[in-house]
Amino acid sequence: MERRRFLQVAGAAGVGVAAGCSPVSGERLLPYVNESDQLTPGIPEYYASTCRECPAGCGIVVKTREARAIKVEGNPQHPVGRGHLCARGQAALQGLYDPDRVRQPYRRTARGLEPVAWDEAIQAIGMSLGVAATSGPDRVALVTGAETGPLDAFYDEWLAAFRSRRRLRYEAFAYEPLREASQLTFGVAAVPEYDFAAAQYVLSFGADFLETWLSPVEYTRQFAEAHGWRDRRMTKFVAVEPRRGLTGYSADEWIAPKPGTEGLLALGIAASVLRHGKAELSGAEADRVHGFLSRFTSRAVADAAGVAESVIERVAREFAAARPSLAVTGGVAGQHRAATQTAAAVNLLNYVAGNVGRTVRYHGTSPWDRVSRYRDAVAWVAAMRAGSIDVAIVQGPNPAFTLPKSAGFADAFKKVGLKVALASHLDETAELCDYVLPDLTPLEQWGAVEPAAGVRSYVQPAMTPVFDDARQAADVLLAIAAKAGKPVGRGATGARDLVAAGQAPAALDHALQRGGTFAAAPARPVRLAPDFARLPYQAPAFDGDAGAPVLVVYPSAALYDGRGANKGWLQELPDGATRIAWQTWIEVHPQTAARLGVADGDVVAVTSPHGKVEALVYVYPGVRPDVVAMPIGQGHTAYGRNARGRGANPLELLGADATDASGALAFCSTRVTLAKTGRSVRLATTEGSPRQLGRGIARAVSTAGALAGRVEPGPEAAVTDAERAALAAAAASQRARAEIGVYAQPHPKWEMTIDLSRCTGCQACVTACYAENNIPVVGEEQVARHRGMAWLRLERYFEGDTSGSDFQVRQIPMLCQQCEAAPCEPVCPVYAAYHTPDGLNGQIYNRCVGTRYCANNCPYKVRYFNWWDYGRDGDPYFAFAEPLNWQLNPDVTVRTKGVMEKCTFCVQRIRFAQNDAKVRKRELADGDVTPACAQTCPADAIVFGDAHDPASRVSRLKGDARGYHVFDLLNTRPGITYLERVIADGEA
Amino acid sequence: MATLATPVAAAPVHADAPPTYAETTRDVIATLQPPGRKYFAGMALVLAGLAFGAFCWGYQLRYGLGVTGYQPPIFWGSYITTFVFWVGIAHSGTLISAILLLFRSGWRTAVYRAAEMMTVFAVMTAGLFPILHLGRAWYAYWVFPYPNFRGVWSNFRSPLVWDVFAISTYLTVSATFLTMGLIPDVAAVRDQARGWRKKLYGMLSFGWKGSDREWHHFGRMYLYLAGFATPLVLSVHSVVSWDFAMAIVPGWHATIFAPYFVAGAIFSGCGMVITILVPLRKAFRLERYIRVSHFESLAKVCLLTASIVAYAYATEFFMAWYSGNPFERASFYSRAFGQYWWATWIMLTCNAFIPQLLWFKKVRTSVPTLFVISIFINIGMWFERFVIIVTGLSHEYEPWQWSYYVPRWPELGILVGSFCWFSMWFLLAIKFLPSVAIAEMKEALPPPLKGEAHR
Amino acid sequence: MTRTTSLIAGGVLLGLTAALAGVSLVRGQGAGTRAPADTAFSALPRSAGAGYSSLDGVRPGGDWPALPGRLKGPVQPIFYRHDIHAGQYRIPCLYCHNNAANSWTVNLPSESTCMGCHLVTSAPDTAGNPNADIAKLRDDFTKGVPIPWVRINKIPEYSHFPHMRHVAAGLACQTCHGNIQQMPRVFPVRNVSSMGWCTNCHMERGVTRDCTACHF
Repeated sequence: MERRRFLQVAGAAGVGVAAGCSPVSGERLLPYVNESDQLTPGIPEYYASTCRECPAGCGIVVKTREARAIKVEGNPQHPVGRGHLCARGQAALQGLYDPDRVRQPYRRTARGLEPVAWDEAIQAIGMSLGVAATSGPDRVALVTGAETGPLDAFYDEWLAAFRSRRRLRYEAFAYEPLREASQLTFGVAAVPEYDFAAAQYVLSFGADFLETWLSPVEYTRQFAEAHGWRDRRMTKFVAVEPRRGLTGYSADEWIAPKPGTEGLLALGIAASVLRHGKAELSGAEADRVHGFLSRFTSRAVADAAGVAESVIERVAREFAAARPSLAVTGGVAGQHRAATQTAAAVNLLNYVAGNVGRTVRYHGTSPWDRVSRYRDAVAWVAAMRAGSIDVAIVQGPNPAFTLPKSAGFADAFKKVGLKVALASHLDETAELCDYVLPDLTPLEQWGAVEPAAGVRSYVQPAMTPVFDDARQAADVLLAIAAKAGKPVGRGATGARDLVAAGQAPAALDHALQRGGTFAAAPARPVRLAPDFARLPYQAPAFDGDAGAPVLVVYPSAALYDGRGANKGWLQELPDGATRIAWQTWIEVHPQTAARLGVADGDVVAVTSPHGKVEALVYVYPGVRPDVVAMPIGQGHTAYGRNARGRGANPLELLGADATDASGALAFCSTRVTLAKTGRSVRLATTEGSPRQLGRGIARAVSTAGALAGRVEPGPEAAVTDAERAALAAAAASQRARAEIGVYAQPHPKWEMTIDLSRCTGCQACVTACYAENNIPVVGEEQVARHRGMAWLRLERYFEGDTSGSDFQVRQIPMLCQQCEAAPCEPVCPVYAAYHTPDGLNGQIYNRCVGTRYCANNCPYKVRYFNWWDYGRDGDPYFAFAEPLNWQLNPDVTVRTKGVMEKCTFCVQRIRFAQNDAKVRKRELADGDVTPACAQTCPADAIVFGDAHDPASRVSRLKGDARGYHVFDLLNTRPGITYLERVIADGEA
Repeated sequence: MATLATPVAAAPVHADAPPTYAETTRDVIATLQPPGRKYFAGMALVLAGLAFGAFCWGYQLRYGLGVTGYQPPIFWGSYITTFVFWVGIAHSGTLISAILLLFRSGWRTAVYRAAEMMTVFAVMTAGLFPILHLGRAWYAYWVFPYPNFRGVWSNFRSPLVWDVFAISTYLTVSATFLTMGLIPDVAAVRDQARGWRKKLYGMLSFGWKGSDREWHHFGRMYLYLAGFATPLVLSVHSVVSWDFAMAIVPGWHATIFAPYFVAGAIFSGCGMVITILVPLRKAFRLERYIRVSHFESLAKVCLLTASIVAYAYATEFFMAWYSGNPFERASFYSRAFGQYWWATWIMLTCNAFIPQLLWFKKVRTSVPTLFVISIFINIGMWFERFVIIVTGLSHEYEPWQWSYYVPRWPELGILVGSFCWFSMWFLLAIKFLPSVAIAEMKEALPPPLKGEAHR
Repeated sequence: MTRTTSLIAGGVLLGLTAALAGVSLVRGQGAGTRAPADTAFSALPRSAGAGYSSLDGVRPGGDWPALPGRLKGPVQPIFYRHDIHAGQYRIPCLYCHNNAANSWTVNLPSESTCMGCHLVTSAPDTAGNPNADIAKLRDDFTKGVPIPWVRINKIPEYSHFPHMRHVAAGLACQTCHGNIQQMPRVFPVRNVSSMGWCTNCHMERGVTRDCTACHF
């Protein structure tokens, strides 16, 4: 009832916007019966919480309007993320408002899933739990994700109440090799804390630390600090991986070894460092290491890895010269049968170079310590197959999808007497269950997690549950235990009590307001363990016939392990590397493609000894000729409208028994053969041409060049001084003529700088823009026809010879440049596109008649047309199906069909801040206005502000020597200044 | 249906003998006889096509422009192409009737009436497309600067607003010119008509009696209107060309566009005149009035304008290379050898190469050949606009945004519909108005000797 | 019986808190030399003690303005008479619509706000029975049912109107909403929905006429 009333009030303010125009006639306004002292219609409320889209646990602040969450942003006070967020975090809202959520409890009968009353379900489940508990120990299994903190403890307590220890903290990506290797080398079974910011040289052996690896947002932030060009210096980043992904795009150098030989390379480099006496070792330890490394000569390693000996030697020199440096590994893509050895080798390399304790720190604990290993999951499956589990409760993870088919999860699961899913979605696992009980999404939940040592980060509901009948898993478990007569949770009646347990209310409130309690945790020193060299160090074996290419299976930066697959924003987000959305592709090197006679979009059958899937060919120079790569995340058979029946799941190609020393699944363990099917599909890509043809769009210089103050010449370099003078004169006269009417008064001039040295191409900005500006999701077919509506896009250009590994990747976020002399403005017959006094290219949706002349005349191609009525219910392309429309930002018009739209620097935020300042009788300060893209950018590459204020950050940055305007020769005088990327050229 | 007094004349004994005044009147008025089965069949076909076009537009209005093949950044396609095509067609009419009148070239008399009709109907067709292609056609009127309380106005810097005025002016003037020239002929028809037709023609002829004073004023007025219309021939299509020339799209932003478009317009116009006159002449047995010599003159105009257009093509490519502008160069390279090579080569073949056949008198004087060539000209000129618009947009500054567009069925449906709309008006006109200028024909004939009039 | 009394007691508390909240909001957010309450009130004939104290002057059953023959505007679920509340008793607009002072959108008062007075005042007839509409209000409040008011004013979704800024600028509500204090039943005034009204006012006062001030 309470919620209803909230919504009805919100209805008046918001729903009109969402559902398009609704006539006043007959429209009702329902005020509160009792006023809420928190909520002011029209004014946002913010709630600090924690992002649960992946185990990293970044701090978030949820913006609510009229008691609905409409935007998620980073929490600046939170040590993880520091106010920034990735695309997945931004998309949490679409999980909250997903129309495919489970809305009520279901029970499986002969006729399939049928609605059931909560009490009935709880009664039944409690009963069978009681029976299971009496019939023996460990008959009950509880599967959750990577939980930490009070709820984690509660789950164990709950399980214990039913005499079971079968707890599975299941994560598809559990980084077992890192933990095992730490155990081997340092005797600490923990994932260390890496400090990219302090590293002077970063060497990554297949770790996609800018995408999914451990804590991508925090690492992106740190990496940008180090790798960005500041004070005339930067950290060099070398990526060592057979497939160059988005993380590799930021690399100054790409080394492509044979798959599986990364560890040997690390050892070779360590040996070389040692040989040149650069190692920070002494005494017996040094001798031991010497003895071990002596056989890894650069020559031997070079032959094994297919990398030039000179390269190994050079990297070793550079790595040792830069102190402290940092080597990382353990990416899913590089997780093969020798993953633990690789991790151990990298630990050794860090130890030899004296990085351990400086850029690699060990704490007592890490959030990953207690996460179950793949080995445990397999054991659990075996137990189920053996019929030794009576009740299995799955909360969160989706093993039916993320475990390789050959693990036989489905069959084993069927043998369990009672299977209960506490799920927000009817995913593959839930579909196998006898009871499906609707769980709350993280934005509606209570909880507390420990994402890093010393950090306790709270999860609190930002709004009342979207669906009345959904309950948080912990509450349900409490109820079940109560029914079964097993009191747990020390009298807690709900998740909130569990979280609040043992804390003073005031302290809790304070913590909830800040997002958690953040204490600095001391690092603990580690020494090299005696038996670090226990494992055999050689290249791993791969299934399948030797001639065939090795399959690299990597996590999708957007869909993660597949959990993002039903979120339209994430489906429509082009992949970081291939820029393909909605589809499952297989990356094939041009040479291989030529040999197989396949081209972009050809459907090929990918066959491994363990399975067969179909994928679309994408010819991609970023993989070795003897490697093909596929992303994880698609190929769902359930889960929801966006996910079901889309693409293929490469995990079906993997052998379930292919594990490494740590008991981790080897994602890179098999060779595959590609067979043409004769069919071909249009790739849903935003890519037009992969080359910028010297047009100076995304520019870069070498460090040497940057130090010499050189800039990469663009096409405008040809312009003579006379022409420059003429342009300047024209500009001056234009300005003079523009100084009339409202334009004459003093105004701010909103401008932006984008530092390409910091930008990693993670596209968090793109999703943030979707969330802030009500941008519709248009679907695969429309994206394939270049009709995607993203106001902000990442362009990716290859530079140099792409036949080998020696090419650069240029990326540039392209959004409306807010030109001072904008070509779009004079051609609009109705002034829908016009210049605002504060220097924006205004776009008045309700004035636009849709001639599309502005878009033709825009050299940057950043104007987007509403081909369909995305905002109207009942239209074939309606993009905001109830309750997705609850997320719509009431401050932004939902555009109707036939109008042009584009980025306006989040003008609604500017106006909101200006009105607020005016009412409070104060001036706007620099930083009061931040567009959604700049706010979320994990690399802090985007800076926005008033260029008329000489003290503002943007004014200072746009004067940078690296600054340039795209297509300067057109004299559009853009409001966005790009700072060209600096590429470290290492030792000259 | 009311009929006309004069019986249908049998075909004259010797066709090449110049017709007398009486014969002229008789034969021309004969074209207004009640139509036959063929005519109605044709009309039915045309209306069907028009209906389909209308359906396509309704479909587009309901679901949005998504139903078309538009693929960003190609935001303009077949609609604007067809718009420019029809505006172009419209031009030769005014050229033939007005400019050639001022130049006192006698051969125009036989053809100018049909050409003028064509002009008016072509403009009526063209005028539809700027509205058809709008995202929100129902707000098209916002483009007009009408006074309002909100203080919003239309943007006079936008070439699209210039278009609005250019097209409407052109329609008004050419329509006036047509009605004006019709007066004496309509009067002639009136004298022989009965029933409601008499009333209709009576109105259209403004009580024309054929007195000297009337002829005097008529001549003056006609001359004045001719002088008034002449600059429009140049201005209107120049304005249309500025839709493109004023934009900064590589391949559009060129000073050559205005003359280049005008020449192209006259070229396509004359082509269309031939396409129309040949069947008309056959159907109405007007061989004695619309003679081969007339076609030859039209062919010469085609040859001239074709050569100008070909020269313009050459200039465009040359300037793209000579300017050294990387964007222009890339754009024109892709035009010739890129994804749209097919369109470009259709254009060059039809507009630049095939018309060169007209250098040969044999070709110029063979009506069937001319007919075939004129068809090629029509196709070629449609593709010229397609090439300019689409290849330009497909290959702009941002390589990441290069794209490829082909029209979809609603666009083609509307294209067909536009031809049917045009044909409908033309079919109606030839049955209600003399499609050959009686009075002016007589001017060109040897004056009758004493008593001959009674033969 | 006891239940209703307790409910009414609760109502009193809630009503007063709501009223106080309203007042504090208005005072707090006003940020002007003149309190926005007054500014919103300024268009009305001033009289001693106008303002919040005017509540004290409430005289139930006092002679109310007579109803005209026919009323404009839609029939509301409860016949709330602005001409009595805002007109005769001079309750400031912002007393009930307090969000106008601190938000873009304006709230309808919660029932608790109404009950703040109508627990006490019931405009009884000679027989002492409370006024029918007030009875209905009390009933809805005790039931916890919101009043489904018929919406009168609405600007299109594509325009955004910052009420707080116009209130802060000292603009009287009546400027756009008409003489509400004379309307027995509120009816829409064209000003609200016509852009011409906005632009003219902005022109006269020389304030911005930039389109993106409202359209985004």
